[in-house]
Amino acid sequence: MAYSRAKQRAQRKPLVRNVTPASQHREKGKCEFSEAGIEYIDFKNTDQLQRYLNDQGKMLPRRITGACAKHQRQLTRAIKRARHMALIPFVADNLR
Amino acid sequence: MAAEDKPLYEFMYILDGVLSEDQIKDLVGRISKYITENGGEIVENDEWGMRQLAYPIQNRNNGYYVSMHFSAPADLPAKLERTLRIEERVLRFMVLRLDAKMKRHFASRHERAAKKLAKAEASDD
Repeated sequence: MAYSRAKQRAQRKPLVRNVTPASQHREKGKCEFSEAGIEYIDFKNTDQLQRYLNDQGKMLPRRITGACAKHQRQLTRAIKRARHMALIPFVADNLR
Repeated sequence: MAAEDKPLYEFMYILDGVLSEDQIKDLVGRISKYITENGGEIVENDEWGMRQLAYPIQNRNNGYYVSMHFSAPADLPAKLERTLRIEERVLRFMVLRLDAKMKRHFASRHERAAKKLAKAEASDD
């Protein structure tokens, strides 16, 4: 029904699903990876990677993750590796 | 510890989830043996066990994950990959050569794991 669908859309979670998305706990102009002194992003650490994906399993852009170019690149690589090993999905259609 | 001149590799593979425990054990043993017999040295072997796949691979929803680190001559990974590609019971695999950053990352994790193990053993006594 059209009515209920509209309601569902309204109730849908925001694009960034995390309780504390990367965008919210960083100071402007600082890359949290650099801040934490993270040198290598491990593809096996799925909990960490999950924070940089939206509901559909898409990667978040740098404007939201706040990562510097260097770390965003590393993040990309780690996420792609994790996807290959079926640790995180390529697409996640959370249809109810 | 492994010889320093040989590169260090990270190796992860997923076995078909419908295999029996014996079959898994056998296959894991065979793969490990293949590495050691071809001049490789296993530094760390971490079997994650059965895990749900994030998406189906060859109509399977579960897989047996094994993650290991080994050092080996540089021609081994290519040979290993060739044999794994033939093996149908291996759903996925990935061999990564560790660069300096990854080595440091691995070393720090390796150390922490060893410390934890030592602590657990100490508390057992």
